[in-house]
Amino acid sequence: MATPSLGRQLTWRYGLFLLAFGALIALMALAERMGLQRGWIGASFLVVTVAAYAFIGFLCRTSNEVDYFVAGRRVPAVFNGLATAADWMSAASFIGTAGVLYLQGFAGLAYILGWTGGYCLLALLLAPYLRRFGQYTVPDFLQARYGGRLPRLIGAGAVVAVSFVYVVVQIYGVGLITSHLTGFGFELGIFVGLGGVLVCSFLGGMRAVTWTQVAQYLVLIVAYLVPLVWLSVKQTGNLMPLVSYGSQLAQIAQREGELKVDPAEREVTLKLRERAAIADSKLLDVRSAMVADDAQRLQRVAELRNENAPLARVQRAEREVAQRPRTEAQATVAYQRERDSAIARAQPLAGIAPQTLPFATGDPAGDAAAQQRYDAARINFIALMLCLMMGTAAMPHVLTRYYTTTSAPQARRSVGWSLLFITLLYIAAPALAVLVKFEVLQHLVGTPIDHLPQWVSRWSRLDSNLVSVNDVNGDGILQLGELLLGGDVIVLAAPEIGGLPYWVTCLVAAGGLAAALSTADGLLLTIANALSHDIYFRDIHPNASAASRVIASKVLVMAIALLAALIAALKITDILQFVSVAFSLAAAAFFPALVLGIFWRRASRAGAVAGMLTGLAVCAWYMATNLPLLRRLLGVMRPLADCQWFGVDAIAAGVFGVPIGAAVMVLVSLASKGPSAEQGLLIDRMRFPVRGEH
Amino acid sequence: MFWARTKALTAALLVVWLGANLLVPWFARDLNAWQAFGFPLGYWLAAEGGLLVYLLIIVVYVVAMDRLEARCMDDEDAAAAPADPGPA
Repeated sequence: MATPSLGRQLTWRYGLFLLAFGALIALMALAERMGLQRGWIGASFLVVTVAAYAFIGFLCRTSNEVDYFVAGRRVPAVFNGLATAADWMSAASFIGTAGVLYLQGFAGLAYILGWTGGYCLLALLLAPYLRRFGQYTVPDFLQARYGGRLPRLIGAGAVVAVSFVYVVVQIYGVGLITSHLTGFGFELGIFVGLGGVLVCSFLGGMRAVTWTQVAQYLVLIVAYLVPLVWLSVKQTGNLMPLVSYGSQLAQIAQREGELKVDPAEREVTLKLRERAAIADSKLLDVRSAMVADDAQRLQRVAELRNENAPLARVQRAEREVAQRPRTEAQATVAYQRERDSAIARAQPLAGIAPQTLPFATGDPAGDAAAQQRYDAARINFIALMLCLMMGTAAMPHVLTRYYTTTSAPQARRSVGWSLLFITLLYIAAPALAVLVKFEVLQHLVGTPIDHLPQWVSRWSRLDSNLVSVNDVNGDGILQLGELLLGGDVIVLAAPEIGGLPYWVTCLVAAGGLAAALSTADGLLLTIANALSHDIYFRDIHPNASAASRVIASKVLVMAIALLAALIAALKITDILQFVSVAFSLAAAAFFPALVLGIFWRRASRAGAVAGMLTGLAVCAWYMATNLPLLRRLLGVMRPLADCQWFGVDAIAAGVFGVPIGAAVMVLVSLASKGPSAEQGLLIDRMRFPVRGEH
Repeated sequence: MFWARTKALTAALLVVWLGANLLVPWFARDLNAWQAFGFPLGYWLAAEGGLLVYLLIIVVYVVAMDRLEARCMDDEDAAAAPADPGPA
């Protein structure tokens, strides 16, 4: 039981932590004024925060079983809420969400609603019941509720698969941020970040991870809100961005209308369409197109030299020569990319959706095709949202967090706290997207290309897929269609876009790092526990002592972290697609089996096994036939439109997997033997309060 | 009795949850004809209002469940015997 003094002690400690963090920020702001080099500011933020996490992890090291697996079950509800929020908000949430909202407008709100609304399902259907059940992991529950090995093994397999995909993406994010912040190479960045992760999860398991995650939440939320509030004050003079950004929305909507009919933008659109057509024709005969392009590039360098053009332009031309595609396959990819990006940017507003108009691809008042697109967009919004919600409620690393509270009523409260802390970030993301968009549309578009702010060239040097500028119509002025701004830079570059000092950029990067590290910690531990506790202990070595189970888990944490780092170092660009896949798989594997297991007494082992497998199979099938990457890999020839059900995108596959899995589970349960008397007692134990809980 | 009430409460809150989830996106464009706090209403509901509804649902659930469980323990005391779980 958490004594009030433990809570007070923790508040006091984390209050001190926040003060120290504030002091670090103030010191860095001052150092920048005094002219400290940029690299040093970035490195200081990185080193000091990671060292602080490692220090907390070291203080909380443990080999005790209950401490290691569930943090001793004495985490007060508020602090578990903070830890869950950090656990939950990944690199993708922190870096990516505002970018998605910037690019997709209203459609991006499906992520905001999905990733928060899922906590209602967690509170109402799962968390308090799982806490009353006790034990350590989600597969534990499947074993106890349904009996036999199979439900547990399927569960453990799904835990590992879902969490591993997710952890690779986190480590990728760690590498990206560390290399941006310090100028280390990407691979070195990964391994530096990995050190920080390992110290926490390796030494102290859930206990260390919980207490570092609380600190990481504080860092990431400060890092998200500081630039937001600052931009809001700068643009609207209002300290409350959530109330004030409505006025910016109205101005953005007006500006969007102007840009749609702007003659220069139209010219860019036409030129881009021409480019797409040219790239298309080059694709017909790649070999001779390559030869012609190479000659043209070399000639351009020679011309610029003769003209005595500025050095920067000559160097840019030389870089183009150096980076030209060498083989036919490379050239084909390059031409395809050229065509696709030209087509994408030849859309109205360069393919960026209007910020407030829902489902702008269609029109309820338009012709039949427009109406159909409108309905398809509405259905996809709801499907994705529901899929993310069920996935959120079924993510194993989040579910295990509620085992660490002191009791079921505290688990309920803790979900409320989690949602509050998560909402702080997700409610801020649309505001940040809008403020950044306002800067871009109002101030950046229309700037002479020679006078673009410095961040444009800095980021395009780092990665031209994230930021690039190309004067398509040659008028020397930046049009919206000439600017490529990738979703992943919206948050990281927001301070620079808004003209804030450099230390704010470093602060944001430190926040992104905290988000990535905290999620990676939780996931690594969840995978290691599934392997050591649910498979090694139960099947391979049932007589293992508690101490040797902890050691097994520690070794596995290390091995999995290294494996994930190696995969992340391959820099598979399509990896982000798999994050959304993880949600569908988690939803289909766990949601029906857990919820029906608690709320429906008749649910049986055969039913659970059939339901979980069917749900997973339906998701896998839908993804295999609909995800572009998998279609290519598997050679699916049937047209995409024929593979879709109700026009729903593959990203929301769980929306089919869950109901079909649940239906199969009900039918098979009814046809098979019901749960044993022992399992019936377990159900009662979960449902009814016990004395001393409150 | 306790379990029946728990189920009723859970179902009622889930109906609110599902209603908000389906109605707001489906009618978002029509809702945008109105304004809320300087925002188009449909946008505001999806960007801020929905999140507040979720928080409210959990707060109501926490308070109501605390009461239900306390009453369940009282009934148990009155009967001076373990409560009959009853059929699911």
